[in-house]
Amino acid sequence: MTGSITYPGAVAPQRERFITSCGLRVHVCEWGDAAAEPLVLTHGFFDHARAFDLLAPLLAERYRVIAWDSRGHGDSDWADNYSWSVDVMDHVNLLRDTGPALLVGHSRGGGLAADVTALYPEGVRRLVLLDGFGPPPEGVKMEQGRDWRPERTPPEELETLLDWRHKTGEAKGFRPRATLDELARGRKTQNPRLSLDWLRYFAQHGAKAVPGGFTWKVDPLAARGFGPFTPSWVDETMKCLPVPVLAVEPGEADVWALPEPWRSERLALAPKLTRCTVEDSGHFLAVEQPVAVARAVLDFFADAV
Amino acid sequence: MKRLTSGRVQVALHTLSQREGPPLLALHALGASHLEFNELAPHWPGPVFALDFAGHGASDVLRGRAYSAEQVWVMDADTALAHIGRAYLVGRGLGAYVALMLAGTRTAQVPGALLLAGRGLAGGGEAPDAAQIHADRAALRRNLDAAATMDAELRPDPMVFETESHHRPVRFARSFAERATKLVFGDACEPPPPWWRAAREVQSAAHADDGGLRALTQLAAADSV
Repeated sequence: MTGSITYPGAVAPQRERFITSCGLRVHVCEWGDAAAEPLVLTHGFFDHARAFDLLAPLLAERYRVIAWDSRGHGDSDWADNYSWSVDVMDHVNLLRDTGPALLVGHSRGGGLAADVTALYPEGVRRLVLLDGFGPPPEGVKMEQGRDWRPERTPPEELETLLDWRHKTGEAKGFRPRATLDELARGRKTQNPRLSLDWLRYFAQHGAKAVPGGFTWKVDPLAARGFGPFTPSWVDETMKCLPVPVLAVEPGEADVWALPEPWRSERLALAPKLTRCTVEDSGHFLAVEQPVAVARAVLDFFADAV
Repeated sequence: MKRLTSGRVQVALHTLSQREGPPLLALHALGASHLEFNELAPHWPGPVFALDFAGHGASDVLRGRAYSAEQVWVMDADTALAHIGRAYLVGRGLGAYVALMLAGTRTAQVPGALLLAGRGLAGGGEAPDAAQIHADRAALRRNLDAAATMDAELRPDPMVFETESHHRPVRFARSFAERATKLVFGDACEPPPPWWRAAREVQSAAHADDGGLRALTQLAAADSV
């Protein structure tokens, strides 16, 4: 979608299409020469493909750049349920469409791309993780100043989930806000490092008009997972990455970034790892410092054979 | 047969017998349906209800086909339980794992649960490791083939078997066993999966012998006195 809100350096995709995965339509955006080598960008949790509008055009000078919306996010279909393993299958189905590719994943998208690399190595040539190194062992700290979430037992968590799902199984979306600007301002409380100008651009593509104003396109159900996952499982994936991996780390502390010492401990498990730090950036590297990130990615991929 | 709304889909709840007494909710194995409890129903001293999990029997398939014992099938069972009221559970394979979770969560509604072996009991083992990830590579290819089979009328949905690689750690299962009122364990497959052994250890003092349906029936009889 081409909207009226612009942002310096942001370039809309040159091509948009859908692929089908597990019966769902998955939205795919592309920049650059369609005959060039494919490079796939995978967004993070509650994000969407158009968050790469700054980075993608810089990479498109050399590659066919492909960004996609995870199911339940952006312009991809909503599902009746969400699971990590089927999100992995969506990513693999995209690679079966594009052919073997260079992967770049941000945040949760980094975890997804890493699992795809471990499970479908024939489809992956190299992997870049943009601050996507998995959650810390204690879980995610949701807000500045708030304590670590107190640990609850799985039965307590399940009871809450069941009660919530019985109420919201038919949920049509998040509560609408009167204007896109209001959505952008709400997002800024969660991502304080990002400018309002960027968040307005982000909201233009990540939100839709509904009665009463605008709401995020993302499915509320995609936010609520439950299962036996523990962050140590990410360690096992890291150990099994068969391709060279570049870890791009933010120079600034950020509530969404994996803190030390866990970051170094986890990254050290990858057999073929290069680390690089992008200064003056928090978690949203591709938005905060797209030029520096593009340079790091292009350098890392340049000698891929 | 009743159709109940579970999340965004509808699932089928079948009444297998209607005699007076404590209700029993039966939860089938992975890839099976309510039909596998037809022979058991006459042996229970109360009404027997049997569910078809999403993607199975007369229940809907999930749009996007992302099945999960912890997020989908336990909700289906909870929906059935809310419809029936307080009930004993019997689960086979996948249904045993779901029965464990439900018994450990809705403790006031589930006075006892019988866990039996069957398909979908083990899941993908304790946790990922190099050997497991290697096995999951092969499973992924099978799952991609299953996902390519698109037939809304087909039951079970071939994608339900994707859950056979989902991990079931001991500490997770134990947390439900510790809260459940009573669990009765039938004969497990050999070797029994780690989660099953851990849950059985938690409740071993109450049920040292694997009495199966007879033990659950005795429990229900004592309960009603």
